Amino acid sequence: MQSISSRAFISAMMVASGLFAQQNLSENYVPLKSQGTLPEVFTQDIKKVVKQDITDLNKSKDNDKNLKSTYFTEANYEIEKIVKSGNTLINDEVSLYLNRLADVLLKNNPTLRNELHIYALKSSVVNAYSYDKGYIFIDLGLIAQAETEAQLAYILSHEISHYTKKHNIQGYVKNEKIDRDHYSGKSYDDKLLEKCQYSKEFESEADLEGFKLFELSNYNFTQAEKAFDVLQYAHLPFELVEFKKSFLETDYFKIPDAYQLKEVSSIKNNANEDDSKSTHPNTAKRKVAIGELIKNRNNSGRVDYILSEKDFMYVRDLARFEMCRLYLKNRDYPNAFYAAYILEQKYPNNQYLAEVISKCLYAISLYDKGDVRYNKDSHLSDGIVGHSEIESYPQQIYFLINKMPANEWTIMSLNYIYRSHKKFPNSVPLNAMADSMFTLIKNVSWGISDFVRTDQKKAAETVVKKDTVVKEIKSKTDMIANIQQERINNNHDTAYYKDIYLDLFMNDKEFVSKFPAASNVEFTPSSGSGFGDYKPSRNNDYVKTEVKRKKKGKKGDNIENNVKIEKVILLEPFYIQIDRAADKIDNLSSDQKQEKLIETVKTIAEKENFQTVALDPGLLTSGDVDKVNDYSVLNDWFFEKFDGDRNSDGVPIFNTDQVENLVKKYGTSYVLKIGIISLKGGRKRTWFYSGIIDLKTNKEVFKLYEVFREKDTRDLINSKIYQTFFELKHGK
Amino acid sequence: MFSFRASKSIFLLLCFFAALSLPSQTAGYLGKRFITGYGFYTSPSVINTNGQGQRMTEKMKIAYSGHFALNYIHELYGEMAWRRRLVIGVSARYYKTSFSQELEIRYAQDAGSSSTFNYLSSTTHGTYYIRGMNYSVYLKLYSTRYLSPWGRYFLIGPVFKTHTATYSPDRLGLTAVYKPIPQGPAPDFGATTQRGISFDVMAGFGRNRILYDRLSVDYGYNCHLFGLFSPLKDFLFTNLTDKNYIAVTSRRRSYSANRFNFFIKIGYLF
Repeated sequence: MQSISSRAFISAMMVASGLFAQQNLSENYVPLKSQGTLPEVFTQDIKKVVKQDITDLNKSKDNDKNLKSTYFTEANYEIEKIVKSGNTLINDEVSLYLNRLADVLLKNNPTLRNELHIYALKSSVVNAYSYDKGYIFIDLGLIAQAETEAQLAYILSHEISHYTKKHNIQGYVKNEKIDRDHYSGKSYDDKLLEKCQYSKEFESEADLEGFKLFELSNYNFTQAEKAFDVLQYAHLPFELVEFKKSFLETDYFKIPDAYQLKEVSSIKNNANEDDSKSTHPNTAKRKVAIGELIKNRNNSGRVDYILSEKDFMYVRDLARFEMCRLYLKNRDYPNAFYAAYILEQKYPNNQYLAEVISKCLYAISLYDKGDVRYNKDSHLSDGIVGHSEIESYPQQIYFLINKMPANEWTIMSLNYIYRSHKKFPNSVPLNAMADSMFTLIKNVSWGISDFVRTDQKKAAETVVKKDTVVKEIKSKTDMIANIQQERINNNHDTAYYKDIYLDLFMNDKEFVSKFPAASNVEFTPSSGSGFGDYKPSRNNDYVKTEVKRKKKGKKGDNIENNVKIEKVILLEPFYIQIDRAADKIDNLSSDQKQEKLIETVKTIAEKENFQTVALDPGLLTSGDVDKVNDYSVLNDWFFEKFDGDRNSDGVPIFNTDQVENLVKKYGTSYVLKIGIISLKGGRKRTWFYSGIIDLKTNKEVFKLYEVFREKDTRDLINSKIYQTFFELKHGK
Repeated sequence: MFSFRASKSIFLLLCFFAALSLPSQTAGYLGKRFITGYGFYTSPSVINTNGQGQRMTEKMKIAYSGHFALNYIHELYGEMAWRRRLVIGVSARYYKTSFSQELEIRYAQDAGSSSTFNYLSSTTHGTYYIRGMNYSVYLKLYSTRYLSPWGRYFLIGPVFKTHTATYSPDRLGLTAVYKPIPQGPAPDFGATTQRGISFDVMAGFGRNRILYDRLSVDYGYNCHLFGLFSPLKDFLFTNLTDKNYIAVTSRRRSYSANRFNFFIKIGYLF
């Protein structure tokens, strides 16, 4: 274990060496990455760790040995799963900052400090978690919401107290005992209430114990109380500022007032909500409890910042930038837009923010067209909701999205994206999105002639007259057609967006050359043509292709499976063994089988002379931090791609522009995912999945998904893996 | 130029090397495509098994004699994974059985004149022995999800069957049903060694498991389709006489031994 001084020394050296030179956020933002040496949890043999824990437990006199040994097994696997998930940031700027905070809080307790492993977690949720063995994870969502260093320090103190009081293991044992109590006649609700009661007691204890720890430092007491306000309003964006439509306007484009929500709803105060079925006491109670503690304490001389206000603000901004990325990953475009809008007020020339806003505008254009969809399994299960379901200023964004017709949104999006592209000409995503918007604008019933009419009014008037009078009315249908034509022409001349591209048509040759010549051209999306190309590939006969796929799926057959591939990036194969009797995952068995699976995949790939590049957190050495980052990028990519839709071929991925670099690095755009789920106890079932996604086209080019009503025998697994590689190499 | 036997051998060799060398897109099990091994087939005989004059279905149509018999067939086989879901195989099966049922036959007795005979109803007694060989080429068609030679399959193929029946005149005779057989020529069962051939179509279902990546364990059941319907043919069309007794019953026995079998085969995968 490192001592505090050595830890501080390493951090200082990293800063001094420029490894963590602060980003210039006024210009751009580079997503957070893990750095340095990977912690022991990556390289340790978890089975040995579990075994050691259970051996230690057996040496003690404990009445709950059985329950606790199960806890140790599950907790160790849970921690490993989180750390290796790709969402945990290691030695990055935010995690290092959190560790510096812990240094401050525990400067007089080096033993405890050395037991802690504190990481930032790439999640938009506002929460923090404490696990056995001193593992503490703080969501970036929480850091983005914190108002001061002292608030963050108090939250960290709270989590440290959970660890010192061993709430995790106690909670597990108590919950299990409640669940296993079959003879008391308690209903499910009774048991839930009882479990929640215990949990609330632990939380209250952690609040008080955390405060004791917090008190030892010189932080301002009132910030501990204020931390509960942060938690209370965690459902709101990290800041509330009015969204002004002028943000999307130019000299030649003014959005009608009707699209701006003038009065936004007030914020509901849920501080006193019923917490009987909650694991945490309501924030009002917690705030009162802390208020009682600080009432009689002398707060003079205590400060909001011990490390540095500048550092806190910087780290918080990093977390806020990450929030934009995380919202994009969750396909929560309105929130991503609003988060970027807030940051844009502070960093108006930040390229990353322009990219985020452009992605949101473009994604919403596709959403309006039906090319971006949500279902009940999506992160946003209800899609983009109406503004009435939102509170305060973010309502204005939702209002605009819902109020503005799809065509107008597309016209406005092209305007913003193209101008951003001109502002940041080196941005690959902006360039690609602008190109894609030119394709998308073809779907709008306005062509170049409609937009330039304003510039050539006379000509336009002639055209209008021509359109309306030339045609000789011979029938009722002729008359209707004429009226419709007149209306379109009139609309074109009075539409508020008619001049939107005026300056671009006048002065920008690139814009003129790329703008489609004819209106009403059927939108024929491409099938995706490489990186940075945000063109949607889902075509208009989606329903037909969907039906075809379902038919194939019934047979358990593959999607295309006629590709010949010789090199793939192999993502961590998964093996999940579910114990039906216990109704949970058998972690130990799953882990052992996963090890064998990885070995089998490796052996068969070698046998077939198939090149695989393993991106597997289970196979890393302490120096493989780059692979952790690559794994994280791919995981994010997959998360977005399959958010609620397994058949999401060709839907643009907005979150991970880094994929292009990854493909160059590994020399292949194909990612292979292999997984097995098996049931044991009762009826035997085995699910086998192997699939290849082409990162260039966003398409699943190979899929083998089969269900067997039998055990996960060695010959089954060997055969299916062999079949995967054989068919990849030779075709079906 | 070449004798028939040589031509046949050359043809087989050509087929073999063609299968080996042509790009067949065959997966096999971890690349191993060939299996050779031993198979054991068995089927229970629950009707007329004792051969001691007692019929198991005599009363209440329920077997009572206590003789529970099993047919055994031994097989040597070789298989090759030909396509992803197709295996082609050849096999030779050997079985040994006996026939000892008491059957009613029409025994032709000379009535003194060359043109007239008295046909008397008699039953046989005694046992004769049969050795049989089956040669078959078969295809195993694997279910969609499986990859030959691993998985569940349907099997079909033609079977060429030969059998040899031998009897001792001392141990095979006739017993009159209604009256003693008058003195006359002894019943003529033909040559003491008689050979028969027949053709059938084999079909079945099975499951191939692979153990330790080398050992093939194949189990399932199969039947001979013509064999299934042979009793009907015998009932409708066959008149048993002493002269055709061995030929008909040995063929019948051959059918019944192969009619329906459970099997387990152990093979080496390479």
